[in-house]
Amino acid sequence: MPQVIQRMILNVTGLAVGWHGKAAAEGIDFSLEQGKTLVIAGPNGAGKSTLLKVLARLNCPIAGEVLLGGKTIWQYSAKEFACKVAYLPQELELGQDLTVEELVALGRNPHQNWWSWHMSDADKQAVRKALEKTNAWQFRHKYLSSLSGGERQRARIALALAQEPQFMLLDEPTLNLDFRHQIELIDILKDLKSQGIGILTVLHDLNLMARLADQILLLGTSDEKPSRVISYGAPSVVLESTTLRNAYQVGVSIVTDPNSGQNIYVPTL
Amino acid sequence: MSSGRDRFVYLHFAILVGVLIFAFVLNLCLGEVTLNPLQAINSLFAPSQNMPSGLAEVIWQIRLPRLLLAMVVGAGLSMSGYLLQALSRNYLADPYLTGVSSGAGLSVACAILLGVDFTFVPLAAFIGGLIVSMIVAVMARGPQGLSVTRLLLAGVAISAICGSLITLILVASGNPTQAQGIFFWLAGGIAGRGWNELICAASYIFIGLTAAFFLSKPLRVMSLGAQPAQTLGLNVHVMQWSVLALAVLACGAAVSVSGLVGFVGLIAPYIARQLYSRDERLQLVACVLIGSSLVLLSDLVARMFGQGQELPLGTLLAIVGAPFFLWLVVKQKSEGL
Repeated sequence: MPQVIQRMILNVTGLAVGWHGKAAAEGIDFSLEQGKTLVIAGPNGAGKSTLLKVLARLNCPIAGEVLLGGKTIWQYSAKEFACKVAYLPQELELGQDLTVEELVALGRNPHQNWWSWHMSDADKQAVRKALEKTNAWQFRHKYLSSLSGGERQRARIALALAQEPQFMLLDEPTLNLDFRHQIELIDILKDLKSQGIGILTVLHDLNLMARLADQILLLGTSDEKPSRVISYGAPSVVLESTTLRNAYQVGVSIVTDPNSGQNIYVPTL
Repeated sequence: MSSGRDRFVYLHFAILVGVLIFAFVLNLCLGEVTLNPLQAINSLFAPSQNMPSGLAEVIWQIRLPRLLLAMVVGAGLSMSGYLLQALSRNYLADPYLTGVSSGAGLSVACAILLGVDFTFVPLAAFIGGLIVSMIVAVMARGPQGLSVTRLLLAGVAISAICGSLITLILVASGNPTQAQGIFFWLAGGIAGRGWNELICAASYIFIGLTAAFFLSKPLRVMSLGAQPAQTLGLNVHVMQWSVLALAVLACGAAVSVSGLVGFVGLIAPYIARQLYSRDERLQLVACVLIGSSLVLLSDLVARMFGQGQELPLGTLLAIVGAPFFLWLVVKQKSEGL
């Protein structure tokens, strides 16, 4: 008998985000369903990271509403919210050196009593699954300080995954990774998506975006004004040279790879 | 699977407990009347048997409360330092250097002068310490969270202010005996305290320590930083306030009996972290054991220093602690922190 799963939806309407009451981006509308990927793109300073922080409840919005499963995100308790949404900042500095497994175990925090160190069987299983899905199982005993950039990033995704969230918010997860590791990471994210996690990620690389995104939200600024949505939709719609020029103020030539038939995006300098 | 760094958990623990017992027995034996360890231990467990008259008195009324008090003070200060360091995510934080001790000291001086019953002196110390810690925290808050430089600068400034206010109070009080007492208390020392003070300070610190144990898991989550901790479902504001309150409570209770004793809260947590780099519960226990031993041994040296004249405990610990602090500063600088 087919199982009917209610898919949760993240709905954003009329959102304005920024600092100290000054908007960095405004007029943002989108919705993201579990099991889909939305890439947020745009030039530096367009407010992408700030937007992500608002969605992760770390910053307050200036205007607008964010609904998760029909309730505003602020209606959830910190614990409930952390069971639904995981957030990965660009950098994670550590006060002390943990092993990968110890770090990932902290992802179970929202599922545990706040004071308890006890790991239930469910906790252990979730940690194991998170490590396996991110191919981090084999280096689970390594210290974070001894990891390579690619391993470090996988460990961090495993941490978010151990929360067993319905949505993951990632801020430039491919930062500082070489292209092999970038592709590996995109494949991990695609795999997570296929398992029903809604992925919302900031990316800079147009080719990676094309590879990963179901939808793209492209932000762009002009003349010191808050940035706005320049285009929102499927990659084939958004990744189009006029639109990209509008957002980045740089031309992008689009060529088709004769082998794979995929589009390749090359900024023209 | 445990990995290399924490392989010696039990051995380290045995050593820490061993040092504490050694310091305990040494404190019990040495003094104007010197006992052999067997006599001393006998007098504790069976005070009446074969005991020269007056010896039981010395042990039970003078040495035992004093050494227990030294342990309690060490436990309180080291735990306070540990919590403050975890909160600021910097190993240079310490109740003395951040001004918490002197804030507590100021209110203790006021309380003594007003003749407040000793049961409430630790509470007064708590309130004073909390007020100062809030002032310091507000001053130290920069755009990127708590700035350690500002924290220490604000701490030094506040300490100076509290110190001069205490002096003012003393001068204004016009009671030379009381003033002298408070002066000695200011320099830090646990001479002349009895069971009442001990039980009072110990209860506050015991409550604080128990609560700190419950906070050990949130402390680990917070070691990732405030924002990541929040996204992991921790109510970071509540936790930060609770940790601060506990740190101040422990410090206040210690200061109310020992005066301004610094650097224990710097040294003990540092060693504990080196021994148990990855388990906050063990760190906390080790920290308390080390802090207790440290104050016990220091008090012994202070006691034995001169004929009839004691060296203030705070002065003694500063001689060891201040260079240690400088070394930590240099170390952090070379590590680019």
